[in-house]
Amino acid sequence: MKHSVCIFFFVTLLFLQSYLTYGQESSVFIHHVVKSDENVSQISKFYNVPEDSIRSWNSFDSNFRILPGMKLKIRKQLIASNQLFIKDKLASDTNPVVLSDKSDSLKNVQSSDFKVSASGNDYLPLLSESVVADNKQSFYEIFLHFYSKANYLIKTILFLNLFFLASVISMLIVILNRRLKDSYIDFRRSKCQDRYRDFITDWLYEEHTSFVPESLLLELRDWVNRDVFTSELLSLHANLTGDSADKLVELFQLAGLKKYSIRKASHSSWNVKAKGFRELAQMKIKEESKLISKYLNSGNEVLRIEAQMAWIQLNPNDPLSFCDDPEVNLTEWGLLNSLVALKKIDAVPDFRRWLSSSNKSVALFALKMSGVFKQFDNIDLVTHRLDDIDLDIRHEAICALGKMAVPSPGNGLRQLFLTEGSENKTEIIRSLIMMSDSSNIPFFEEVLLTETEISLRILSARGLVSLDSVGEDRVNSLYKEGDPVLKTIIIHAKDERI
Amino acid sequence: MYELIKILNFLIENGIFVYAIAIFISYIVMAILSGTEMIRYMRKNSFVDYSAIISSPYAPPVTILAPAYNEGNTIVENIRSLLSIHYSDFEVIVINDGSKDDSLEKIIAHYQLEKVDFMVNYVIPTKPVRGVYKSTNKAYSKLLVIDKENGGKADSLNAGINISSKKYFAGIDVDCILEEDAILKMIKPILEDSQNRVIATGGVIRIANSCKVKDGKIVEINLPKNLIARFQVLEYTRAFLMGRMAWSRLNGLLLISGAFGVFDREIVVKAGGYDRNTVGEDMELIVRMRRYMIENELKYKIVYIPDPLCWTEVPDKVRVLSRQRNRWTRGTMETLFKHMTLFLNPKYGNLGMLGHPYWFFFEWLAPIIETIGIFYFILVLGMGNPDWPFFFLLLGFTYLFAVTYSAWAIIFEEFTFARYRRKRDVFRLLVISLLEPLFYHPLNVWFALRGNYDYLIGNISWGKMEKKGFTDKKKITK
Repeated sequence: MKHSVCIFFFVTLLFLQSYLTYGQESSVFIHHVVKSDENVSQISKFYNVPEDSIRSWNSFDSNFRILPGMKLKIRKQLIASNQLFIKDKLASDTNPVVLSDKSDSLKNVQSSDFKVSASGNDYLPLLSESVVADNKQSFYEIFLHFYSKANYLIKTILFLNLFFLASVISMLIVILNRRLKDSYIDFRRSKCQDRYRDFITDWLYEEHTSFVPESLLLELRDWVNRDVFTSELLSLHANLTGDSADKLVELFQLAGLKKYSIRKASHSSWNVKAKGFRELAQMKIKEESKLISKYLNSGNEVLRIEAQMAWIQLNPNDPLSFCDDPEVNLTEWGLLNSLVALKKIDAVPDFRRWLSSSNKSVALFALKMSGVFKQFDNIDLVTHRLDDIDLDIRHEAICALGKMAVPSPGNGLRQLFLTEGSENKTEIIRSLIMMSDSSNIPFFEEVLLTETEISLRILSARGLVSLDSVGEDRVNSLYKEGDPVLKTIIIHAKDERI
Repeated sequence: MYELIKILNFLIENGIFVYAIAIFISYIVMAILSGTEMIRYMRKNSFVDYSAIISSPYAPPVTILAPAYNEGNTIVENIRSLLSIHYSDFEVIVINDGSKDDSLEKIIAHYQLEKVDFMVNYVIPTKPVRGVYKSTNKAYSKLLVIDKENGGKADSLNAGINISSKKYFAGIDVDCILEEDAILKMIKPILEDSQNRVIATGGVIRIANSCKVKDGKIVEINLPKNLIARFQVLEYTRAFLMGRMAWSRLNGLLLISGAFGVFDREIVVKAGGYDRNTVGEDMELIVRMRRYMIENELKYKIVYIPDPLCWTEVPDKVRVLSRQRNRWTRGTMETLFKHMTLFLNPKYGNLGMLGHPYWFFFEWLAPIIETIGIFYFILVLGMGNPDWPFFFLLLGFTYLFAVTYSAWAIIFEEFTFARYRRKRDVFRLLVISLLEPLFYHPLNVWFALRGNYDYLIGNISWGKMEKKGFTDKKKITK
């Protein structure tokens, strides 16, 4: 959000640097090292500046005697305005003067006599270029000159500036290109979409030969056409069953789309591969199950889920065989998807096989599914998992028993209530309510009267209310005897609108 | 004295240099992380068939909590929008936070509500609930309205959490418009992770100014006509697509926008619910939830998804924007200082070593340092002849960096969701990216400074937010 703040930081940085160097006066002044037998008068003549100015800049009076090796400050601007004079002087002077600056202008003036003493700000021309410019330079020449004289920092900044500028322009071009490309593809799609839809509908509902026209096959060699045709076919197929669906599978094969789906499923990119799995599964290409099976326990969760969904659809006789793998990893999201896939094949396997699995995710899945599909034969195994050390397994077992709504495990659940945490306690009461068993009345009553957690008390009151007249009578009598809190809880529980 | 100034200058110069380099690097790293995360996300979700799962009865139940205060002009429409969400098991709890207008009367009349005998369990302390309402019309069976004494947004959300019965809740601003599949997309990361407990998910907030709304849904997406709002489009795009995605990848998110986020109710309750004494309750809650998980040695994650799921109206007047940003600054400061124990504390992992220090240095301190820089600049301007070529070179660098960074955000948007379909909208955004550092950013700095000042003098007001609402826009569409 505040990245633009950097603009100001660098502005500040720049001026701090400027200030530092100006503070040291090294950017305003250059240093003249006094040679033997040199006096102020000679120096003033050399630079064509008044003697008094030299004394003033160096804070000494006329009585002060300069000594060899001393550094005298000479104001640059004055040098700049006098540099042609200096140049002439240098050409004729055999007594070298050590001037300190690296500026371009002075470079023209000196050769080895000038050296840098400006601390920290030695990368820019400090004197006016125009003073020494013999002829006018182009911007490109000036830039090149500037670049060649610049230090690494300047060069880096220059490079980055150009990079940023180029990036923005490139991004503009990329956006334009993408928009144009999208428009073109949309145009092509719109051109063939209706035609393909009509063709597929005709294939479904009209008498047809068992081959696809050569012209269409040729068209489908193009990826855009193929993509449109495949998606039209798949979306229609998703809403059909029986013969109609089989006809579309036949069309898929005759149109030669199978090989493209297999190609996708073998692609190196996982997202293309996953798409291929989906197409193969929907088009019931069973012979490719082996290819898919390699990814049933892939580390890539998307690929894994797609492979598992495809496997379920391609192997209706044993759709969840991949759960036998003790290393398989199932997520809640995968479970939702698996349920969708199981619905598609209209097959419900017996989950008993995985109820005792040591793999937690598989056991959770089997428990959930046993409840969802009310597999009463599995009650014993589900009840057995109420003793599991894993909290999540116990939770799912409680939920599954609740969904089955069979009273037999009620006693086990009531016993478990005493040792469980809040979340599982809530689930136990919910499950007991689902069982509609009057033997739960004392339990509900006890929870209602003794529990400290309001939500559990409300649920227990609901449990009593749900047990028709017997429970309701008990609730009414508790209401009469109860304190205001209990009364409010009972009123809440009895309100069917909540 | 001169030596002292010299040393001071040296320290400031180098300090700012290091700071500037750090901020630049952090942005570049975030852009790279966001980019990779976005690519991964887009690939991963390119073939998810939400329609098959959206109606699944096995999707976890979710409560939508929508606090409302004086929203009488738009409340009926807003609730309709919330009720039209596509999800199998959800309830909408609207919390009327002691509105002084006719919000409650309007809801009661329109949704045929009647008071029910609800036993409120104050798991998290809140202002007293005056009544709980349910509809007599089965069509609105998912709606529950709480009428309570005024206590602020955090208090309202806490009241909603107390009454909510579902495992997850989505906290939203009542005037937001959610995409139909918003809840499912937000729940997905929670269901996907079997290794960590995902305790909260956040989604991208988009700007609905100038968009056309019909029946509580966005039917046409436009770039705002108002310049202030348009600047915010760029700002939001950058912040959400390039900032929070990176933090999500690092599992270092410190903020899930109060406008829309899904939370694990159990963890929120255990962490103590929303803090009523801060104006940055959204950020504060996330920090406290994270602390709770770390201090209890529980594996967790907070995830951000880049889908544009929630559309909201942003301030289009400088005055209103000023109040909002002022509040955001105060909220940030309150949270950072309240949880100062996290600062560079390795015990808290990324939260302590990355998240908290980042917010401290680059979110809170940035406008302050920037202002110091400007003043210093003015000071030194009068003390010497500036090195103008170098000045312009650096100015160009920082300006171009800012523009490039924004342009990258636009590219991210273009290659992912491309919600602005008109070519001219994208180019307008690019133009905005050229203007933003010059005009909009200085405004934000000023608002942040005011926020700092107000924090120091103890101003705790929320600040009145004026919104036009979508009803007007709906009329435009007719």
